[in-house]
Amino acid sequence: MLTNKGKEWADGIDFNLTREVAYGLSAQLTATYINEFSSVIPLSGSEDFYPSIQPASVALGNIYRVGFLSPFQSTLALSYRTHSGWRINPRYTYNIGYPTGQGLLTAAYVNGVAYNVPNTNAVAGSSPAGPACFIDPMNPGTFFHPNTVGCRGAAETSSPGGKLSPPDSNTDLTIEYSPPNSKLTYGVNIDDVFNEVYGGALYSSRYEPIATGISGPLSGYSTSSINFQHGGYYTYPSAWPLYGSMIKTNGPWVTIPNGIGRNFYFYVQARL
Amino acid sequence: MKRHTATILRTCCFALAAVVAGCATNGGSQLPGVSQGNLNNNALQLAVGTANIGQDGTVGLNVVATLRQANGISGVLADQPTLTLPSGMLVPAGTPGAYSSSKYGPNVDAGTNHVSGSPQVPLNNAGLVNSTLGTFTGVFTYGFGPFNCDQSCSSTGGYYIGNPNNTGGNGFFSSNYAGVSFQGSVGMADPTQPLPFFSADPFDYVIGNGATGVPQFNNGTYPVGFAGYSPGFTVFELPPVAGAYSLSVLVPATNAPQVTYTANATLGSTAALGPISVTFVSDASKDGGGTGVVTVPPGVTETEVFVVDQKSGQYYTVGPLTGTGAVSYTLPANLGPCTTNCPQPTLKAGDGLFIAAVGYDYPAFEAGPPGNTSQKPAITGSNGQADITMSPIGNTTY
Repeated sequence: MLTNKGKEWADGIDFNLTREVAYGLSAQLTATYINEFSSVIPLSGSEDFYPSIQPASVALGNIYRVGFLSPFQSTLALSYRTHSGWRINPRYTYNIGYPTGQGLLTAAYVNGVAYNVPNTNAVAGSSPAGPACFIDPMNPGTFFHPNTVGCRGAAETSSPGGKLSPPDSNTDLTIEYSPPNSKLTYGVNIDDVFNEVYGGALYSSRYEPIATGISGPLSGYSTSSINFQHGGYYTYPSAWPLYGSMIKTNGPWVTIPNGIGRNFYFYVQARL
Repeated sequence: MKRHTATILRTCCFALAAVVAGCATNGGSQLPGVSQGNLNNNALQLAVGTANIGQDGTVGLNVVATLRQANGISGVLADQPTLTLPSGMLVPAGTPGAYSSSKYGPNVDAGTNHVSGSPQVPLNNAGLVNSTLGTFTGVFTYGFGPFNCDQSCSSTGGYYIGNPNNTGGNGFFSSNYAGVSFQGSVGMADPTQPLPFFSADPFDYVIGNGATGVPQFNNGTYPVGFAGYSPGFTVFELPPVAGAYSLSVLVPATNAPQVTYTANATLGSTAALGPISVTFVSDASKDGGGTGVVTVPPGVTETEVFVVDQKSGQYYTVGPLTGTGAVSYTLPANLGPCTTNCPQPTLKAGDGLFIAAVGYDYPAFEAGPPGNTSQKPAITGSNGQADITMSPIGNTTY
């Protein structure tokens, strides 16, 4: 059912400090602290566009911290221009981390009534990317009081998106030179100086739990029977372990090097 | 010129300070911390005994194992057991394994004195080893079961009694054991996927609603399809040999040191308990219940009666009963699945039924979940063994 009757609100504070001069050091420092909450379950695949919300979560009126905003972000941009024509412009962005976590509770219907119940693999609830804990196969307990052999081992709160990923930053740098009495400017711009290509921590959807925080040999292997082509034959299932330690696959978390990485742009500008 | 040089140096320092700060929080490549359980806190137990298999009149080996955490919950979610038999007790040559020998070679246990599981493999079954227990069978809180987790456990759900591991690939769909059982013969799903090698006539023994102290678990608050609790025993249809038995259970951890638990047991006597039999009579009013008599041989200290409704797929259990000789029992009339309009009848007129009884000379029921939460429950009787006697499996109509 499509509806626009969800809830969403945000509050926060912005800080902006600017110094701009023709020569010498110019600077801009911004900082934003923001709390945004929404009916939309964070970190779900449809969070950003036309979100789909588990009906039990709607029925309960659950509100979550949004998954697409870091609560604190800051940018520092410096620019030093000399009379001799040099300009050096480092730009540094920082965030305290993005919301993460499955949540220890999940919204689900039990006998037709919506509840927030422990988020285990016994219940198909509202968790954005699977359960937080795993039931005992011979003594599973109830939805309300499950017996769990173990959990993913990550810090969690009751709500998905309740924890933050590690802080992150990005650094860009521009250096250019405009010779006196010349209409030309020569420069180089470096995006992502530290070549940060990893996209950030995600819960592995291919995690084989054995005990709390301990993974089994199938962690990272595809859950789909569709094979990838290799040497002309579709004989290899998509298996992250084939990529070795590059994407850190043998635990409950993965981070994938899917960013653009360091880029150099050399340019010459002409003033008309 | 000096002024320009100083200016450039100052600017470079600014830039350097900024980039160094950036380097310090390269968070995209960092993973949040993970706390890990201590596998060394788990405890494995093993007991062996004789099994009088009434269905085909043979005597086999009964094995009872527990692998638990301190709170009585299963120690791990996936493991690889190997049971080592006395040196003179061999798995017969040619005994089939879990998988097709034409695809995966002969059972590695055939002709040896061990019964083993296989290392887990990916969905394309690459590297699959043909063993008796396959990739899917592990040891859990009370016995063996086909519930080993795989990479689907973190996304699509867990495995439990009533929902065994039947993920395609991972060494399962190639299993010879899938769906081969009494229950499978009438179109029922197998709650535990019994292994034919364990018994000539595999039957899913599940402690269902009705047993003393077992909660009403088919009330909609338990995992979908949860069929009941394990009675704990696993029967191998091999003539038992007196001597030392050993069970090792490998936990194939990949981000922590692997652990192998070992437990030993001794079979001092190969003398089997006498045969046991059971009758069942529907209540005349067909109100859902029934009565019957179990003829219990000497030496048995407790008995359970297993009733399976072939139509509804429900498992019911009466017990534990005590005493020997003719022991009467009653299956209550109102144990049926119930979320609204409770209670519901246990059985309905016309339902096909499987009836079986198992007698034990050790506290089998008391050692199992959900009532027992100790890490090392008592799983042997006064003779130090875990002997059982199993009735033929009755097939009747309510």
